[in-house]
Amino acid sequence: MFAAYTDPELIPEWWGPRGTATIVDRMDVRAGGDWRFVIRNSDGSETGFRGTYREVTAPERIVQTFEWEDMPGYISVETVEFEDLGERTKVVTISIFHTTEERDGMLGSGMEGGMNETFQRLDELLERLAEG
Amino acid sequence: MTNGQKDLTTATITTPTDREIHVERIFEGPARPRVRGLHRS
Repeated sequence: MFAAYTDPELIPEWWGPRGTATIVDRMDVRAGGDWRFVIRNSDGSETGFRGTYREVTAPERIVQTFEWEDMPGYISVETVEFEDLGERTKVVTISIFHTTEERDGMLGSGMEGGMNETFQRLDELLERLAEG
Repeated sequence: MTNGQKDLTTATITTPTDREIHVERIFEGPARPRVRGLHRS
């Protein structure tokens, strides 16, 4: 589970909506390291996301900044915590924004639908990995 | 913010403060990073 978030070979298999391709441009998974992913849409257009890892503690916690390049300067801080439930894992993602308006902008952006689709892709990846 | 379902495949979104979003989701698979040793298709 932790590897799905930290292995650059696995990120393209689940990160982003269906019908898009995710390219890992940079992924230096350590405190202070940068990451940058590019989503390529079916029409060929691209949009980038970037940030910096602040903490990487395997297998339970990642803290990183998150910035959508189409809205530069609006940087949130994401903490992803992995709770071991045996054969399952509870993943809690806490995003902190500078302002309520930025937070509400994210909520109103269609985040919930996109996130559920992305998580479904992660389910499918985990299933493939479990099957070996 | 949620559809009220407790299906494991539905994320739960909450806003405990006016600057935060919390998302919880349960996945099938262990937290431990044993993925590296597995075959990938």
